[in-house]
Amino acid sequence: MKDIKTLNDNQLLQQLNLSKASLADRTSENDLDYLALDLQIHQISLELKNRALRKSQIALKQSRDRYTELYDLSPIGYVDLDKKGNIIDINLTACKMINKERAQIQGGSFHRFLTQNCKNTFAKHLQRVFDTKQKTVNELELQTPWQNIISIRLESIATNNDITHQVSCRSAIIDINASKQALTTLNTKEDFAENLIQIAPSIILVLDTVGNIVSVNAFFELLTGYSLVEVKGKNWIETFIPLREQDHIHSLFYNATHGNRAAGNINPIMTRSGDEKLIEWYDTALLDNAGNFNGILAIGQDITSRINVEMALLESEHQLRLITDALPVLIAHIDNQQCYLFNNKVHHQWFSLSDAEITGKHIKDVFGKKAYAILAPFIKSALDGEQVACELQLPIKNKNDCFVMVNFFPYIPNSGTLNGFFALMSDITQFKHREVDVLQRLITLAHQSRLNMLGEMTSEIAHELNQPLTAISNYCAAGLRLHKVGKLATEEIPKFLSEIIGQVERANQIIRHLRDFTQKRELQLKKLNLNDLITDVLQLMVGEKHKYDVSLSTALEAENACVLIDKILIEQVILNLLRNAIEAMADQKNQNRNIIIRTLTSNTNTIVVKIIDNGPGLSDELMSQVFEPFFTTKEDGMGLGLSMCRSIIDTHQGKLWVTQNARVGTTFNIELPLHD
Amino acid sequence: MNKKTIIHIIDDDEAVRESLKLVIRSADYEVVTYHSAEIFLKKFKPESAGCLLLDIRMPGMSGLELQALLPTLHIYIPVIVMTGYGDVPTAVRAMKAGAMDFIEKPYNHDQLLNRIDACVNDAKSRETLAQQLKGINRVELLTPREREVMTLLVDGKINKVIAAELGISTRTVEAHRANLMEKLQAKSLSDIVRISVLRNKQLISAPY
Repeated sequence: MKDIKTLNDNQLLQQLNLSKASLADRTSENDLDYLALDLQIHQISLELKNRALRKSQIALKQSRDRYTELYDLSPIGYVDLDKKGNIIDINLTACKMINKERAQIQGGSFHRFLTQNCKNTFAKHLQRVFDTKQKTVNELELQTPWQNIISIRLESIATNNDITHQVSCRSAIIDINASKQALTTLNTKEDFAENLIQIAPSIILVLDTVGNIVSVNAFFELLTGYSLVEVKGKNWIETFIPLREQDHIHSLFYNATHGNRAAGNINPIMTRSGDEKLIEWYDTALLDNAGNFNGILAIGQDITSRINVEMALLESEHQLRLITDALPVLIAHIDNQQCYLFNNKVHHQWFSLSDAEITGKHIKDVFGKKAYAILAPFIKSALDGEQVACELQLPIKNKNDCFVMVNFFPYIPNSGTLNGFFALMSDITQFKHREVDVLQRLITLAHQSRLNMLGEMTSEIAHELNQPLTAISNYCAAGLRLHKVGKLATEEIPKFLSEIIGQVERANQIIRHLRDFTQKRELQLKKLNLNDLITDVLQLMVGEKHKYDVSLSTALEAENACVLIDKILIEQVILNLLRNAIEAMADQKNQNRNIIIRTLTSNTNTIVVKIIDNGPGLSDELMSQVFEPFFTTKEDGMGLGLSMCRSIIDTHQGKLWVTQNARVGTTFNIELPLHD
Repeated sequence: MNKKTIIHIIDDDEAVRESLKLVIRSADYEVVTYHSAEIFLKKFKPESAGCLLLDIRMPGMSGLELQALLPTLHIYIPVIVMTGYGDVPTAVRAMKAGAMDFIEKPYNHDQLLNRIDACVNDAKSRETLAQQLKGINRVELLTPREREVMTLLVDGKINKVIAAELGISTRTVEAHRANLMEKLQAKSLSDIVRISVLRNKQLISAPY
């Protein structure tokens, strides 16, 4: 037989059955054999039992190890203590908490890991566990030489050891440090809240169920002038609410006590100094744990100044409305999307619409497509942040010949980003028509004045015309006479004739000039050289010049003298000024009477004509009056000459003014814009 | 006719001056022209004095000023003043200042040459004077009203103004004017002026 130890369990069972069968077959012939067989059966049975035991032993060990592992790695510390507080067993988590090796502390006292403060508590805890066998919970503090203090909760029960029948204290050690810290923070927060309550710029008021004051904060004291001590227990409504408001507040309070809160109620309260402060209130009902009404917490905002500011704002808005409505200008605020934010009364009345029909609408819808097409580029400029000013003729429905003066101001508030633009518009249609009327009248007046002027100059002009006529007549007479006596050489005839033609042309020019000058005509702006024009005008002045014995010289220095003007009107102005200068000097005896006409370009945009005389000059008083209508120094003058001249120059976007010469005489200055 | 006689012309208008020169030359006179009174004073030689045709209107020294200046410079030359058409007051002033005669532009050339001839020719001058003196004497034939009208005409006033001043109608003035012209045998207003001025001279000083 093989060594049974080398056989596996099945072989062993086979052998056992084999041995038992052999035993049954045998008689007791040989007791020794029988005995040996019986022994073998026992041996096998024993081996089998041993093997089963070993298996259960291994299983048991595995189970115990698993338990130990669980025990040691549990997030909760476990410790078994005896009656004296010595450590019977401790898991790794607990060891970690006290930062010690298990072997070091097993059997040692747990007391030494506790702070001095809680040693007593621990002793009582232990005693209670052993005495009462009830679950006992206490908060303690662990302390180790290298560790900070750790707050723990010790939850202990009494356990019986099955083997020793010894009672021990099994404790769970729960680290409550994190929650403890949170609690500390919570305490700090409470302090913070308390501080907040005290320093908040709001009233915080606690009333009891009947409306008596329980507590107030510092701001309340500051605002009302009463301290908490003075007002505690007093009835809120009777003490602080003005009589006229008391009924109202009573009912609000009643509602609040019945769960109907009125948030945002505004009412005045009386201060110690007798002022009233307007407070906006936010109430919260205070409920006890059972949910019963326990009082009111009210937070109040002093809105006295805010209300004042709001009132002032409303007032100024109202005023602004009044002003913008009263202004005879169309005012609107257009947003970045070209829609109306605001428009004044004149604006919507002009369109025969109501405010509501315009506000929020797109400009296109208000002005109409045609007008919008004209406005669009200007709107774009305004929304690009550019200021716009122009006169436009807009095709507006139900309006004929409509002229508007348009001003767009981009609106850039303090934030720095464009918020649309303000549109200011004036209907200048009538003004435009008047402008045309005025121009028409000016043209008529100028024509009349030219006729008058020529009337006064008739004899001088006749004299001028007489000169070429005399010469013509002379040439003809001389020719005839020479011919009569046979002395006219044939080759001399062309000379005579061309002289005559020259003189006819001379007369013609004067007549043409006169005809132009006496014609009444519309404004005709033409590109002209001002220097040439002055030379032409002087032709009409030859007679006057002689009559009054005046020297007329020119200094036409302006290199660029190109202007867009009505020739006749500007000639008239210059003629007028020249005649004035001549007449002013007429009374000067035995003196050189000089007039210089100068042109110069003072800057790149304008040309200036200066008519400089050496006459007696004008007094300061006269200087300021000469351009006024109906002002005259002449006995027979109408006094319209210079005022008309100024109107004519104004019509040409120019300026006419008078200056005193440094030594003698006066200078009349005409400034006209140059034309490219 | 004295071929050496020089006619002087002062006129600032070149065309008038040069054309006038041709006319006078055609009557076989020597002509010297000046375009201003100042140049005349500078260039004039007394021995060449024949007659001076003087334009009244000139820049610088005027004709009347020159006329006034001549005696003080001991320049004695018969002066014929040239005036614009209808400029009676100037003509009157020139005549009073000692002008021999005056003529209006544009000229009647025959008349002009006659006047020049008269000026340079003593005999003719006297004849003209006699004729004019006859005219002066004929003033006696005028009614007081006609004389009033004449005085006002010589003042350079037009019919309408005269009518207003005398408180009569323009038509009446025209009638008076026609009558007095016929009585004086005057052909134009300048004849009336001449007669009037000469008559006044006669009344003041001894007649020629």
